[in-house]
Amino acid sequence: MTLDPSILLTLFKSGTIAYVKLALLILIILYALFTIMLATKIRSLDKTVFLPSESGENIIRAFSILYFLVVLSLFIATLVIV
Amino acid sequence: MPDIFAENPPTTNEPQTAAPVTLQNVLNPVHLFTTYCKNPRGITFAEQEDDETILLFLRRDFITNVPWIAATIALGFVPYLIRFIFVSTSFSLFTLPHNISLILVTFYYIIVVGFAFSNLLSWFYNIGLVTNKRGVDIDFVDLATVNVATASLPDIKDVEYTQAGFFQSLFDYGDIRVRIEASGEVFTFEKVPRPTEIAGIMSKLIGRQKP
Repeated sequence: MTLDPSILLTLFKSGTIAYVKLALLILIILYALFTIMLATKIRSLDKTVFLPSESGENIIRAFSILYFLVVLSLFIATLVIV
Repeated sequence: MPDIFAENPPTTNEPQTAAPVTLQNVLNPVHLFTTYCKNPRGITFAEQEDDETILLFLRRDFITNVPWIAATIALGFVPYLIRFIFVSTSFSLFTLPHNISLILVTFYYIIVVGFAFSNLLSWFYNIGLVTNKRGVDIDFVDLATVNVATASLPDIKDVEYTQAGFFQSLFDYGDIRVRIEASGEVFTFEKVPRPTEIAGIMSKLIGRQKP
């Protein structure tokens, strides 16, 4: 029985891609956790020092939530597309 | 008989009794990129007393953000640079499918944006406040820790400032060090604009508080 090297290469490639995908998913979910932490931290800072809306705090807060949503979307995209 | 000791009638030309120069005249709005504001409008902090008013709002001078802004721009070009090197040398480590490389590049740029955002946050929430009763230094350290240091004005021993180096002199920013009398501790408003003015205001406030 002989093994076709091209089959081995295909198997290796698909295995590598699966690992890359898994690693990407883990990294993205860890990063998503970090962004949640960031957003909650910004919310909690409001209790330490209250800045009015004209100071741009609302923009910062909205951006932190948007940023989390983007990372979450990337996670879903990685799960679905790849 | 001429009245020798008669009280002089008040003359209108003389200056009125000089009202103590306080900062509490006009409330100023604090915007996104404000680094120095007298009498900030609408700002409060935890443990603020009812009769306590904020006189100064301070952040690091905006010029101190230039290094991370430059680093962010440079990081934005890194994938192009890597691609250029690989293409020009016809070198390839491995070939990934297009969709995976797209996700990788997107993730990279999300991290770059995160780097910029975390630096912006670190600047935005590192706030120094001077009230009529104390100095408050709020430090947003490494995105996870918030350190709040306060010193009441009667406890402050002295206020000093340093402007070290060419850039600090050019852009007029520096460190304000506030030494606390009892403990000997020092807390610092780092790289704040107009350090001379701030030190002057704080010295006046301390002088007013001391018996």
